[in-house]
Amino acid sequence: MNRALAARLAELVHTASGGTLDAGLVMNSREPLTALGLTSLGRLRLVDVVEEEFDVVLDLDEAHLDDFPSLVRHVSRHTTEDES
Amino acid sequence: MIPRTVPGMLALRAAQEPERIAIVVAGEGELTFAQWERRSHAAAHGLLDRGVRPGDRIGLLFEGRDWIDFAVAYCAVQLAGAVAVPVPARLAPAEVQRLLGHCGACAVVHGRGLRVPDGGERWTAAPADLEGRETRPVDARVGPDDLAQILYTSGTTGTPKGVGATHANLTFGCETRPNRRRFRHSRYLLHAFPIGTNAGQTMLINALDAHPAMLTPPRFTPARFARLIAAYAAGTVFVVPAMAIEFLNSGMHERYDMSSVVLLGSAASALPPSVSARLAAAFPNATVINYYTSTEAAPAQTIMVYDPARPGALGRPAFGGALRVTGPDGEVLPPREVGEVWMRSPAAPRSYYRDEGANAEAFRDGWVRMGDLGYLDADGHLHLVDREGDVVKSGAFKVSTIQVEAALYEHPQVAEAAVLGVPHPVLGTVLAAVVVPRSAGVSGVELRAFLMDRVAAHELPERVLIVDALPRNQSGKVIKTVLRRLLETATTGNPEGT
Repeated sequence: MNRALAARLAELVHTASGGTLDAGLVMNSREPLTALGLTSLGRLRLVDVVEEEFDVVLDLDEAHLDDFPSLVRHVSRHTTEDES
Repeated sequence: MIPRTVPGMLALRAAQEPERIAIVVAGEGELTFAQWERRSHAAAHGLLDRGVRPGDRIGLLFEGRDWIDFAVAYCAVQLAGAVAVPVPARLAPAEVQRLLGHCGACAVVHGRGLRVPDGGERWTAAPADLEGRETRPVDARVGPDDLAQILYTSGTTGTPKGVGATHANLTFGCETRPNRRRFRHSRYLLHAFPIGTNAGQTMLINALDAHPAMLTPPRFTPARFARLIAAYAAGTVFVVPAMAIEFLNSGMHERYDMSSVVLLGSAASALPPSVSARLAAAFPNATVINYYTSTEAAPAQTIMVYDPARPGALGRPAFGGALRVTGPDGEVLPPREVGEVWMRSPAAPRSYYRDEGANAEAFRDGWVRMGDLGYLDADGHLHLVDREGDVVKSGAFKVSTIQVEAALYEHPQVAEAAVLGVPHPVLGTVLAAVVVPRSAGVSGVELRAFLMDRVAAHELPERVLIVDALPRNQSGKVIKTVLRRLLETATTGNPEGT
């Protein structure tokens, strides 16, 4: 896992949650983001900030938003593809 | 003559403007009226071939990205003489199952990649499976008084209720004369209402009869919404207050061109006056309009053009409907006295499907109980006041706290649970749960994970507080005001929440 990318995404989750989710906790989590406390509103904020910063498309209903490792994998895959 | 059935409306529009775009789903596709009609007839053949009979209930389970297939399936079901039951895809599988069971749906037509809960005899199909080679028009045997759709809502009490509407009800007020169509000032009408909600269904009817093409993103986010307004120069935009607030807070209106918007409509719950004022500033060329109705009362509604001199008013009844406020004994109250709000539909009224008891409570002599408390001012404008109830409004949705409590009680480690609405800056209200565990060690994360399979996303408690006991009064009733204080204290003491 790209740790710098993961750290940045954890910060974005923290921001999107309105500061309620600790970035360190998110970094090490495997549970669904929703279970951790990311609300529907937090989810759509996360989509906007991630899409804007990484120029990827996120689907609010797809598995790549289910938990933090999936999010990192999805963004990592797309940003690497763009560079190649 | 104006058609009085939904398939009749589609036939007329397809004849008038076959090549015109009816629906655009951003990034997914477009549908013309000719395509809409041809595909609906093809799918209706598929339904009839599978044995669908007039009056059968057919569940429709689609996500926002599949609005086009949903529109086709909706009309196909009605062309076959059956009843469309749009089910919100966000519901938990158990809830979908319950609704389909309640209305006795014999089949479910569904969107891409959606898993339909197993239902014994019930068959499932995607629209593509239904659309065969047969494209001759189906001989639709459907009349204005036939049941056209059932929509589920939390109603005014708690258990979800199916609200049935006839074709006459759905087509009431539709304008089919080309030079008189609604929203003629716009080429595109943008919204992001979910399929299976009354607001979403209203947009589907708009797609059929209004001038602009209906434009929708697969899902709402402020950035996507703003980009669509700018890219399509959308003239008409519909939101719910929670979307409006989130949009304004995101500042997107300052980054994209909003000058095309001439009508900004808000539905589902009252726009807070401060938000109306901010919207008026963010959309400089738009008239901001608040619509107030309910799944039960539609097409009865009040319409209010935002008026800074009367900021909280929801307006007067439109289109020949009526409005009244009643006291404890059902007596009509004079202006300024707070009571139950009722509306009378100018069209054939809706009713609860298979629920006589609830019908008697909510529908009386043509009047529909709105489940809100309010009063009329001297000019007959409606104003709402807060009520402490078991049904709260979170964003666009009515949410039953009792239902979420029931889901919590299914967890083996939950001894007691209470769920209540707490104020939220964007959504108006969100749920919070206070739980007494059977033994130590149950966490909020675990309980939320447990609830994720049992309740819809918007029903998930934003906060879960674990306590030793629930505060109860002498008759054993949980005192929600004390719970609210507990939650406030916990917030101050623990900024991480639980």
